[in-house]
Amino acid sequence: MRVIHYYPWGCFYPSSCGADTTAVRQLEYLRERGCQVECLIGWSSQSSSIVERFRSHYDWLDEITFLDVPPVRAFTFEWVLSAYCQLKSSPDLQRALAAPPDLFFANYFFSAPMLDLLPTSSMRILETHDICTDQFLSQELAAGHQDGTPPNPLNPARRDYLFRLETNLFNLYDATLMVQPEELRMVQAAKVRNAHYIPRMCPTEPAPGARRHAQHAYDILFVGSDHIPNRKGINRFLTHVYQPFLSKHKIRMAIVGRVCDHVKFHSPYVDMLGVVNAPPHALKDVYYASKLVVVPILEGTGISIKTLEALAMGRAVVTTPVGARGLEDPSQALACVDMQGAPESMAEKILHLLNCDQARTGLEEQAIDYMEKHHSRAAFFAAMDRMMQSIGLHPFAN
Amino acid sequence: MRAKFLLLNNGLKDLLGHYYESSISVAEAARAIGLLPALATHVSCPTDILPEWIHAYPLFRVDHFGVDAAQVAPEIPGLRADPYAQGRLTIEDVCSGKATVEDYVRAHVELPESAAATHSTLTDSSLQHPVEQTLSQETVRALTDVACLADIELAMIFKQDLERFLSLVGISRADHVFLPTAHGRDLLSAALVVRRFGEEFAPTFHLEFRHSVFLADPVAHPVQDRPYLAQHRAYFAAYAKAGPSARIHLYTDTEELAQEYRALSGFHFEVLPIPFRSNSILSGQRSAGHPLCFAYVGEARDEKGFHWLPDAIDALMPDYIIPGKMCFRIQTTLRQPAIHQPLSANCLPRLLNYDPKHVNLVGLGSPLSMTDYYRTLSDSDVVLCPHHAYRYRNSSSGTLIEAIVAGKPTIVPIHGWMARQQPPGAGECFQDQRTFVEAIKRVCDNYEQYWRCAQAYRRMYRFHHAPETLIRRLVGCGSGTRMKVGAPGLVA
Repeated sequence: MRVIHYYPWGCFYPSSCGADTTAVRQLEYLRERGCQVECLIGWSSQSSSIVERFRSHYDWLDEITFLDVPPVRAFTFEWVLSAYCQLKSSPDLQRALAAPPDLFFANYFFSAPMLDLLPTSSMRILETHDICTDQFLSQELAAGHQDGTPPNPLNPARRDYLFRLETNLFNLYDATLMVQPEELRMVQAAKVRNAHYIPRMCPTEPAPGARRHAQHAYDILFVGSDHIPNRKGINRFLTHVYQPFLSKHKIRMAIVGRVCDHVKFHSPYVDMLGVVNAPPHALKDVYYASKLVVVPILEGTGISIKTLEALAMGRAVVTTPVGARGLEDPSQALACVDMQGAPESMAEKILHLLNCDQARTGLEEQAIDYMEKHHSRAAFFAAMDRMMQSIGLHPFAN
Repeated sequence: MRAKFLLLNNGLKDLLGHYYESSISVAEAARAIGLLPALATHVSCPTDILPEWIHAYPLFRVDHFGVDAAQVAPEIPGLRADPYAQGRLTIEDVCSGKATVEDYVRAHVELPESAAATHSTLTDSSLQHPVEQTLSQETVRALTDVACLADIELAMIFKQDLERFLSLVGISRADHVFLPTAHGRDLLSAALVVRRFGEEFAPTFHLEFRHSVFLADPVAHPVQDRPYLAQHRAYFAAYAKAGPSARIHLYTDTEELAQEYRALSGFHFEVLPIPFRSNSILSGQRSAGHPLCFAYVGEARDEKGFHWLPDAIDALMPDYIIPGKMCFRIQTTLRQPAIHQPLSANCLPRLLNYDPKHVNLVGLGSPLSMTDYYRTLSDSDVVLCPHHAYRYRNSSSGTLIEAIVAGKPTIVPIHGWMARQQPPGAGECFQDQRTFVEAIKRVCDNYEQYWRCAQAYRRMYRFHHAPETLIRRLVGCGSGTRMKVGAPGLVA
């Protein structure tokens, strides 16, 4: 089966955000099922070293085409739709779609205008691991746009209208993949006929025995991209939880990822590690070196990949309800605290878990059990197979 | 799919006046019978005063009287304000190959950059669409004749905002659009919208006219100086000439107004109840041994006779107030700027000087919440309506109906709709400022007798003016009950 896979946010390997790892898993599945895959990637202006690294990792792909689409998260909802309407005249896209694929596998609904270039014989699958309406509107609220326009106020009428447009466009695909059950119900209520819940694949990687009992370099860890909810969440955590309640206990904290560029807080006990992807600071090593992980985010859509990742690493997680959204009954696997209403409670929970090895170890074990039950490779592959079969595609299982 | 019930209330800016209650009570009733309500208000209306369950769209730039017209459309970026294109192009058209995804997207979202070149905006074409031309030209001609042409600009702004609202909520033939306080320019807008949709696709519009076209006092303003009358005559004339629509129904809320509008336009106007949430009224029994509480509730306005109160209080002070027979509770919410209500603004300092145990002021500086408003009404013993007799001779008063349903004796102007609504024996009428004070004294001296009569009519009025009655009348799910309004000798 010949598949064209579209991903809008540039090279997704090495991954630098949750969306990237989603695409990584999709390609893993398609390759495993014996598909011939060509990649279409938005955002051609990435550095040559990143592109080369991507090409080298995905040397098994039949073809990789870069399209001239700026990173979608930088602009307004309408701007992105406009850009995709214009993209249809791109010679690169037309060349890529000249031979129609059996399956067009797209990430994010903005790609819908590209469907105009496909014959009806091509099947279409849409992965939408965020409700774009909510994601864009919350970003617009938080910051101005790179095109210079001021931020828009959050307008419920606009939200409802754009959500209806978004969900209407979902119905142009043969299948729409939702990353969490709550959003599945939400789009089904909006009359999306083809929605499927596909659990996020996040295989467990608990620390090897020797490292599990080693001295921890950090007490707490936060991992985040420069996504606006991450910036706002960690800054609020530092000022409302860490500074007033944890700093006096000299709690050692590591912050990892592009979010470090947006943290305005200095303490001798807080290390900004930035993007880590090589020893001695490979991300996995930082997880293992931390006693517990905090996910202090207060807004966002989809599912919190950083929560899943931390659980898969067998870490005890202290999160806000937003950090736990989309997880199926995670109450035993993590600690969920209202940071906004009760910052002191969050600090108390963190201190308790840091000081009580038994409680922390209990959460770590539950985290691994939870992830193996709900987010294993087997669960992801089985759900993908069921979805593919439901729309008449029968990839060979290797 | 549930039919929608869309409420358009461009006078709704805050908690003052009847706009809030007439919208929310009707929306609640619409929801109760299975309709899907949505409310569009004036752009200045803060949405946090509205219940969370209602879909609210503060987008109208023009209010009922055409004052304070906002120059800039509210920020709802990206919405393509063309309900007609939406109706024509659905996602099913894309699925069936009749339209491309791009066509669909462009029909629904105003796209930046590339959109401008090939797709005209509604603003450019709003008066140029062929099906609109006859009606709009007739109106322009009629308005020119009466030198009110500026008003048609407001009508076009209203029409654009109406189209924007219909775009936001989506619309179908099964839906209803209710304007509880309509103006002639709204009739033009609704008629143009119906023409663009076509009679077979348009929703049903219900326009309720609640203001007398003879708004001004004839003594102060000669007939030729009454723009409200001239505008309405022109709008109705143009509508009649261009051909009325079966999708537009016309109403008033009093029999007297219905006659007035019928005489002006030649069209039939049905009379609707005056809706409010009567379950908000607390039915407390009066406890003996306290002074009777005479209340003025609602906005402080000259036409409502607010400025009569200090003189009345002074006259009653030695024999009634000081001896503990009565006290006053007065809502002193004055809409700003005060220059619009000079008499009311001028009398406010006098009211502030009274001992609060004699004259209790509420709502000073900001409107009462609906809870406080109904508590003030419920806790009073008598409701004063010192309204301008001419201004209110044909027009309704929500305060009066609320007071009657609360079982309160009332004091109202003689010879008008208010006097005809007052149940027999349940209050007094006045002719002027002197008789207003006399009426207060009579009610105070014989309170029990007035109170018993007022209690006897509560249920009947409550039922007649229930929002459910109104909604059923509009959408045709039953005829509702019709009380013979204005007839003397109402029986319980």
